[in-house]
Amino acid sequence: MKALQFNGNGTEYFKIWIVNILLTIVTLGIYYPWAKVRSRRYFYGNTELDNANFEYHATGKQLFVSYIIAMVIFAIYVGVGQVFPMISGILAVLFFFIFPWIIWRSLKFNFRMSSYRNVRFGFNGALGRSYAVFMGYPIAVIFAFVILIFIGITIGGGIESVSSGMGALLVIPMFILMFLAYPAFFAMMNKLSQNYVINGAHFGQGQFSADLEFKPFFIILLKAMGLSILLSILAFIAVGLLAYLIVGADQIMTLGAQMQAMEQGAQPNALFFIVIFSVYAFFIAVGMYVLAYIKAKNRAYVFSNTTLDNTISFESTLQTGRFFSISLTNFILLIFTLGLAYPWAAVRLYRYSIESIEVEAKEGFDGYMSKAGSENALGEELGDAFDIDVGGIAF
Amino acid sequence: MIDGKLYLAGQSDFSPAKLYLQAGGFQLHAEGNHTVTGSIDQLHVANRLGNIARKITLPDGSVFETKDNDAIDSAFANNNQSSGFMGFVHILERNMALAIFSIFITIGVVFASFKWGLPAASHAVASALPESANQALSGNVLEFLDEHFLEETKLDEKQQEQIRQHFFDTIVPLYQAEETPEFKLHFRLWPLGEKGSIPNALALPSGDIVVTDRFIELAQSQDEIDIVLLHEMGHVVGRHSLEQVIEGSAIVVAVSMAFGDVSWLADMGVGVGSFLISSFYSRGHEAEADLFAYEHSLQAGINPASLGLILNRMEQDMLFDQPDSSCNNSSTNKKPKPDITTAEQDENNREGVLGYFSTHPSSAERTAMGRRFQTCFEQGLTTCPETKHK
Repeated sequence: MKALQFNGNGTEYFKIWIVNILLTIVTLGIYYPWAKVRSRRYFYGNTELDNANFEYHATGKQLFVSYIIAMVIFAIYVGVGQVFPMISGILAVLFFFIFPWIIWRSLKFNFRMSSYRNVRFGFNGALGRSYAVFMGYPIAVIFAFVILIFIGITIGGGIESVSSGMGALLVIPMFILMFLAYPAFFAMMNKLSQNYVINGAHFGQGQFSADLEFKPFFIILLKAMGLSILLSILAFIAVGLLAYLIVGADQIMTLGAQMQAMEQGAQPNALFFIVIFSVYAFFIAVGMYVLAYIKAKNRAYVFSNTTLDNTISFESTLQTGRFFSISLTNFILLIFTLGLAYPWAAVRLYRYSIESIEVEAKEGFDGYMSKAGSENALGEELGDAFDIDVGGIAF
Repeated sequence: MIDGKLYLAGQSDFSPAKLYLQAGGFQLHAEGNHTVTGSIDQLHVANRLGNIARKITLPDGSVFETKDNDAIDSAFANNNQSSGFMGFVHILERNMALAIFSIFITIGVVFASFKWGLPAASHAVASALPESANQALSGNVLEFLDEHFLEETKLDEKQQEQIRQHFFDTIVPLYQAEETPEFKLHFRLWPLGEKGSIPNALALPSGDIVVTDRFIELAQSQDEIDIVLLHEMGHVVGRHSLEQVIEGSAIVVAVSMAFGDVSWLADMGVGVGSFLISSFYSRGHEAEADLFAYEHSLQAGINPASLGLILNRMEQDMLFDQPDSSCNNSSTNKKPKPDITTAEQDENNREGVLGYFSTHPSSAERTAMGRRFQTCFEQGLTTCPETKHK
């Protein structure tokens, strides 16, 4: 097993980032696609496996065309929406229909524009499958849910009987069902989308493959739910205790009124400010921890079930606690520097995400060749305008 | 001589290689492979970025890769390829002084656009949009508030009718414009806890103004009610809600452009940042609504000081005079701290007419404005031109 390595550093990236922002401002946004390319090239180029680095090949010009198209579409959407609100609703539905196509295009473009050891990645997943995963499945679930509720109400003899004994008997299983439906939906979405992305990806002539199941994703999400409930209770107790110690019980009752007054522009009492601040801080921390947990567990499962050409395998060593502490300290750093520490924060997080990926390639990476000319021409001219990060695999 | 690796076109296999450059020509020796020679013009050199491995593409598509960026830079210094615009960008990136200079320019531009550019732009956009946009924004807000926060008023019909009559006969006609919003007045009870209720007045973009029972109870004169209603009318006329929506979305777009790569970090940053910024903007809107209220109050002979008085009383009521909290509990709880605070606040209470504003350090502007109009009112003027400060 060999871990990936990241050679970039915050100070170097800071200079690139600040120049990117400066030029984007000076050119009134025109430079943005070139800025994005420089950032990407920096992160890819400093990512190494076995002394060879990855590369990002898209050019500012490619991204610029699609950037302009996206901007024009967005301007039309906003403009039309203001004058004819009805039509903007239709446009939103239209967007829902082209969304799977956008995902598919982005995947094709972004894989195609990445290489390792002079060999390009690629994506050959079918467009129809993208529609099935990102449009068909969500619609099916919504329909199934509506029908289920409809059946429930009909059997229960209408909404009026919900308060009666018969209704209550039905409400409880419905409630449990709804409670489970949420993680189940996302677990299914994870399974479908990750299988689609991984099985469609290739490195040169080598095909990635994975056979991901519903159950592990579902269990991870159930555990995450349990974890967030537990942590929320703990945070609630902690905040309550803190508030009691700082301001005393009698004033806690007026907390709501104080917040109301603050919204009206009143100067908050310093002690209350501390209490309100710590409520936010605790709950942001809980949210971050649960997200870190989901990320670590999902990634470990997905990576260990992915192979390239059935000879190269992957492992994720990302730890929840470590990822959480990096995220949290980054967040604090960003607040206290008003965002200026962003390059260091981004590098820290990226470095940990990358260096916790391990690759086992017994036969090495020799003998791979870029697939030439098989991609359609559109992919080369039109970049990825919508910045969609499918599957969330930080690679 | 530059050490590196040679990849054949599109292949992952590589062999160690050495590149020699002299007098406009190059020689490439790959281990266990042939030697390539040619003119330096045939090589395509990727532009430099930090210290990532540099790629030189040969005419046959094979790629020479090296980490010796400095050697490449000096060897190709006379060649136009590595300069150009991206060469210039790299010079900027390499130079710490320039980077620091960029920080100041960036901060300056960001500050200026937030301070002047964004309010001006969103004001222009908000006033250019048709009234329907404003109406759409209000949507079902009142229904939503009724469902979740507000209860039916407990004021008697006669009092309601009296206030409403006065509002439509005397206050609404004060504002004359081409496109006057259709004002409506609603009375509601905003309950708080067991027995308390919240004093408040709020305006929806559609022209619906909601006043709570507790506010009416606290008001000690007709002037106080009138000037608060004028203040709310100021929010409606100035289209402040619309401006806030436009400002909010502009900020989101700008921030996500700067912090585009790690999107979840950006989400967090945007959330906190836009919260701070929007509270900054809403202060500006409060001052604007104050100005509207003061200007029209002079015309109607309403005492401008009423605004400070009633706002102060409302705040004190919210913080310390809730019947179900502090009074009952302070006898059972032995903590002395809150009582002292209350006593201090009571002192502040009597501090004077403009006490409300002066306890809010950030609203120095509002205080000054209040004073100015108060002076004009005492002189019996109906307009109050801004006096020139030296």
